[in-house]
Amino acid sequence: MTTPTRKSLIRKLAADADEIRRPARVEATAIFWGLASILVAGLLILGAGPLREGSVYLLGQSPRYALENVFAVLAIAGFSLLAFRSAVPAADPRLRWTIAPFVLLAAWVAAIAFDLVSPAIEPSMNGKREGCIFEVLLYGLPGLALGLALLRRWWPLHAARSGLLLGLAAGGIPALIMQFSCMYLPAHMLTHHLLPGIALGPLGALAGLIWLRRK
Amino acid sequence: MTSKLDLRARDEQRWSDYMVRAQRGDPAIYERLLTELGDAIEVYIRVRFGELSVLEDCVQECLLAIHQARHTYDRRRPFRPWMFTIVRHKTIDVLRRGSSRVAISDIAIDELAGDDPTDALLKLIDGINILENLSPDHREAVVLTKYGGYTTAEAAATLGISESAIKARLHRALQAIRRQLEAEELPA
Repeated sequence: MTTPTRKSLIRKLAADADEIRRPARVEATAIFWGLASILVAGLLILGAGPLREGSVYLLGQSPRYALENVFAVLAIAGFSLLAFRSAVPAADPRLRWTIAPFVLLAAWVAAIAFDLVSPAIEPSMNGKREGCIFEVLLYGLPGLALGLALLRRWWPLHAARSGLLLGLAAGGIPALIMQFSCMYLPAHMLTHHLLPGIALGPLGALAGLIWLRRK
Repeated sequence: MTSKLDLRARDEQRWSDYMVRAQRGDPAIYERLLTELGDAIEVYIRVRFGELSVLEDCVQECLLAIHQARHTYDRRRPFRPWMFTIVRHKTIDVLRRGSSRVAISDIAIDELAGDDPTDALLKLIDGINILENLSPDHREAVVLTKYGGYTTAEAAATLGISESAIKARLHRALQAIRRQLEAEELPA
């Protein structure tokens, strides 16, 4: 039964209900965010130095090299979709889709770890950058900040989880671009590209706890 | 005769339509929607938690949350899961925030006056199925603080344990209730 106070609240809320100009659109927002983050990280990385010679061309020459980058692209796309879906009530996908980006991330790491014993392409010092580890960390931050600002406008129910997923996606982007820019040495790639990229995950979770928690 | 499922499907369709119109800025439809949702939420909470003294607070907080989250409703997705996700979340929030007591008549209080307070409360909440799946320790913590109106210090003294222990039990109990609610299959 509707009580008088509830009735009065409902009247106030109805009177306050302006037109919603932009209802939440998960996929469109994830695509927008992904493109914006790639653009920013790409420009910053290319601004600091060119792509490694032949790094893109070799995608068509070495299926394993192509595959490890496909794992990365799919993991990043998956994490970003999951992050934005996590900010809309009841939009979380089934468990297997929630696990999929983590499996793809593990596959990416495993593929590069396998490069330690049998490199997918000829290891090369070409494109060596001083401080690529910091570049990955730093260039992931604009994407993380933009994503958090977008998520905050919605309704994230699990702040840390949303932040973690977004952080992994945001960190993955510069890590992936760095794979094409910096030198191709598996141990270096693991410690200086992937590790700082993954480190943005916990950082995102912490930022999520601070910025996304609903009062 | 119209079945329960038919009614739910009809609610689903109607509420979804109402919300889409409300998103376009139709206050009359929005008022009607919130009124219907208020009644549905009240039933949802009452069926699961019984006659809590914070029931009306819970309903109003849920309505406020739905209002604040209304821009996240996408008509391509079902309405009921969207709404009940918010309701579950807010209900646990309200329960976590403070003590509550079961709304009972004075006669019931008199009848129970002679019993041990914990046993009396357990009698009162008998049949509230959300509590039945909790462990005895967790159930006691929830019953005393959320149904008996005890502070955590009073509940700790009654059970002869430390206040931090009761807080930990409460935290875990509410997490278990949240999981239970999430596991419920909501009709899409």
